[in-house]
Amino acid sequence: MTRTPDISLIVTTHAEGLLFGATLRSLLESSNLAKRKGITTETIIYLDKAENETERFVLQICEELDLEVVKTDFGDQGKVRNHAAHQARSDYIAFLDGDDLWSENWVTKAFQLATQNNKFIVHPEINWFFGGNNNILFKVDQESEFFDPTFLSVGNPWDALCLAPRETLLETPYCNRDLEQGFAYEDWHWNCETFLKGHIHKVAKGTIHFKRRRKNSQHMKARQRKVLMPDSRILFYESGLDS
Amino acid sequence: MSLALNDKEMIIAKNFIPELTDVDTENLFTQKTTNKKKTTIPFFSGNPNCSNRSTPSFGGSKSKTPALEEFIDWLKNGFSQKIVPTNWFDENFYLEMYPDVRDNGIWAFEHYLLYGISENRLPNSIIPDCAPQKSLDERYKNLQFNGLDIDFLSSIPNLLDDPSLIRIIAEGNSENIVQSLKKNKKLSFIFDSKLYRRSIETYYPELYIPPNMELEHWIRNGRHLSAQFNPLFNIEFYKRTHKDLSFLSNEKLTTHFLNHGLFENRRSSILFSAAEYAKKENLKTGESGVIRALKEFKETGEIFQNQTSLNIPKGFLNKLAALETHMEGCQCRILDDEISDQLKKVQAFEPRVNFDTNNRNVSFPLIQHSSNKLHFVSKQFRDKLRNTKYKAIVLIPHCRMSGAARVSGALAGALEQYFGPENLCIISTDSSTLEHPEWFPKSVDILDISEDLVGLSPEEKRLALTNLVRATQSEFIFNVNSRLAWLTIDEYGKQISTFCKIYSYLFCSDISPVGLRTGYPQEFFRSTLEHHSNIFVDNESLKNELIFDHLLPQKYQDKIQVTPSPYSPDINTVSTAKYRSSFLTLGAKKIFWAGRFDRQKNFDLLKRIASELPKHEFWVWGKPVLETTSNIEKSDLPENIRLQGEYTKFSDLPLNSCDLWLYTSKWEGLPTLLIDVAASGIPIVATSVGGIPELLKCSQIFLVNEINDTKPYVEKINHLLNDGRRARKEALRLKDSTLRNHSKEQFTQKIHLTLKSHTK
Repeated sequence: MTRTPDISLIVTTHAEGLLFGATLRSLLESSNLAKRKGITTETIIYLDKAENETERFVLQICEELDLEVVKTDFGDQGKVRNHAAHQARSDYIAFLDGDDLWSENWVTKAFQLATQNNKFIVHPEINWFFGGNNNILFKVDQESEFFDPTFLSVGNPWDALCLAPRETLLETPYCNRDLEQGFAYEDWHWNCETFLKGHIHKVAKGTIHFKRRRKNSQHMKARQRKVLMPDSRILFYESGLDS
Repeated sequence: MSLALNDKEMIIAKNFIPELTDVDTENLFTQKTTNKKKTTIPFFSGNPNCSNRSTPSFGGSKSKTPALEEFIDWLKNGFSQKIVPTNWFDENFYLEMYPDVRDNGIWAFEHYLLYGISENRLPNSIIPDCAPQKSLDERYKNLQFNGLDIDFLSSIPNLLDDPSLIRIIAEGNSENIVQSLKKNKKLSFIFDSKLYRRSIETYYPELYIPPNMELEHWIRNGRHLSAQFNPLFNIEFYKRTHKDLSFLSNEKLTTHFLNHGLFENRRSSILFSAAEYAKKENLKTGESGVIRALKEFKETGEIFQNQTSLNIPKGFLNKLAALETHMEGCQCRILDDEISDQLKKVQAFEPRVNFDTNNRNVSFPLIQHSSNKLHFVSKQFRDKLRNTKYKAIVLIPHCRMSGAARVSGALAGALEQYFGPENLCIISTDSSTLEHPEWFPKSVDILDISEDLVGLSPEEKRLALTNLVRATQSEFIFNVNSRLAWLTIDEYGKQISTFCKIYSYLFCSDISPVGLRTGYPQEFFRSTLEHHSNIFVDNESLKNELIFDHLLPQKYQDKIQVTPSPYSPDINTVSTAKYRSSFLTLGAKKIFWAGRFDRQKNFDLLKRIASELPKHEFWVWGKPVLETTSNIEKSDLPENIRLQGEYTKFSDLPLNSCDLWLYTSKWEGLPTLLIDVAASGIPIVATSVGGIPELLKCSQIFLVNEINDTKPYVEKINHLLNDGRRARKEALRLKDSTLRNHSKEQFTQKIHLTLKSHTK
């Protein structure tokens, strides 16, 4: 009988082209280390409204490596992640964008931390930007003295590339992105909603997400369009988070 | 846990854990040593395999200090194996420093614990007070500064700035020194004992500070560490920022800051630019911006944050200082082996992850993050507001003597009735000026955010306002001439309209010097109409202008609502008897004029008219406001112009002396001043521009079609003053019409009907 893997590793692709190669390599290095530590994984690659070059490359690589590919037509990473949460077999899910990279220790350390408490949502210690931006962002652990919940009303201290229990994702799906109406940052919104529901955002020390900044990335597009985060109780003074 | 410790072990245990001092039974010992709440034991890191380091590193031992059980375990097992359980004891140093110990053959750490501490022997080359808690409590009861401590204090005369204190330091009596230091004013602003203690507890948990001994501990030990003792001095930042100091030790850096950097206003923290502050406050050369700012902080609870002029919210300064220290730690963290190893592995197949290391910023939420300023202002707003929630907000630029401000007051009155005073907030966005608070309902909150926004980028200001609307869960926003509100609606109106109904006022187009229409109707109407529930205008003329310009279909036309502004509630009516008598007399009449002395109000035309009517007196209220032209020189004015200065209330004017009101504007909406004049029953001669013909519809004799030619004005004025009966009759007819169409009740009703239609 095939054992259910411990973690589903979900990669979302759209227009990354050959950049996906390095991303997948980082995923495989990370999952191989996890395997050596006794942690089993499955890998699913999502092609979401993918442009031709990306689709060709991803399909070719995945065929050679015998990786599962799912094609969707959402044009919305949040919906892709929601779909993945339903489709995945594991109790834990880790997300990776098709042009970003994981540190080798990410899957292992994040899983070890996540399994300590089913309320935990795990983030890397560092977001290491490269490409169009070379900054480094340290994440804040919600249980540290430096966490201020009111910050969530103006900025996102974390992002979507976390490792979380599948149950958490099913209970709190990502909201729809609506760029036309001027709303995006669905990952920020998800972080707010999960926080409000009592989940705990943790940081796996020593882990890094390498985030590629390209001119045409979804993030950059959202920023250029002056979008806002969708409505959340986090935004209200009435929520009393500052008391 | 049994009491199977020998005498020596028990002495050591009681030194490390003072709670064991009175223990003499096994039960009590077991009880005390299974206390899981105690997680920190000074001078004990609990890692039995920890190697000795010659110098403590920045950040100290961050490993979680163990429970008491681990300590007892070390004592029973690790001690005999000669395992040193702390990084703060340098065995090699100790043996080299004290050859008698080496010759004796006793284990160095054991010697230190049993004899060395009480003999004031040093545990390492830098930090003298590394010892168990009980030993330090004893030592600090009768603390003696050594020569190096005295040297340190002697090296900061600029800070201490007190010859008698310098002398006391030189004399070397520790008790006298401490007493005098604690009275020193500048030092009291610089040394923050709570911050220092917290920094030591966080970053150097093995170092123990006896109660209320922070200053003494800092002098003896802290000057060598990166522990923070002042919220505006971060030693790592100081070292990084000033390359000329980068080779200095922590002690030398601290000395440099206290003796020089403070007074040179060198930047010493992310949080604060002393040089910018000194410039803003016009401090003298050599006067410390940090000391002055901290003094002000003590008095007001607010501090000026670097060149953005953003005030750090109350109660936040020490938290930010702690964050800054943490972030400096992050700067070092990226060089740690653990991180470097992971980086190298990824670099092997994606070298571009570390291509560009120049000007790299390390950021952390709450400090050095793109959203920090928004976070601060959000907290400032929250602190100022009485309620957390307002159903409706009115956005005004400020409240100066202007028609728009009058209208915003009237609107606020109508909205107060509709929503209730506790559900309404007036927000001033562009300036703090509130010349006429009496125009607004007393029980409604007024929030000035203009000063909080200084230092934000234009985009941040718009976001800050959007966030405020969301934070207060407002369902209705009313914009009355606030530029920031217009910009925000332009940028985020699409989103805001999904959770809020938007209403804005437009009054009139301005005319540029070359004669082109300009102003908010041109700038914002087209791009924001879709987001609005209604655009209010106070005259048909502007509505027609907008319909014509944009070829608006009916559905769009319906969004523009003409809402006649109300007259002032405290107007006078001119006495009929007096008026009749003045018109029967021949001789000089009094013609009133009020407004800004500028191009729009056409002050030049007034001067020319007055010079052509030398028989009459022109009583003129106002001042130059919008344009740069001048203080008006009396010698430039015709002799029959009597400057009256400014007025506060229309009803304060000597209207009983007024025979005629002259209004010469080149362009207008529907001026509230003229509504008040009309409601007062005074004859008028006015330019037929904007909404003025609508006001004077029933008394068109008062209108003049020319803008610049004096002749029709002079003729009209003469005609009305010579036919007083006719003038008065028209004025009374106009008064009736005005009282009917421009009442507060009418205005309020119209506003309420509009709101009701949108909340069905």
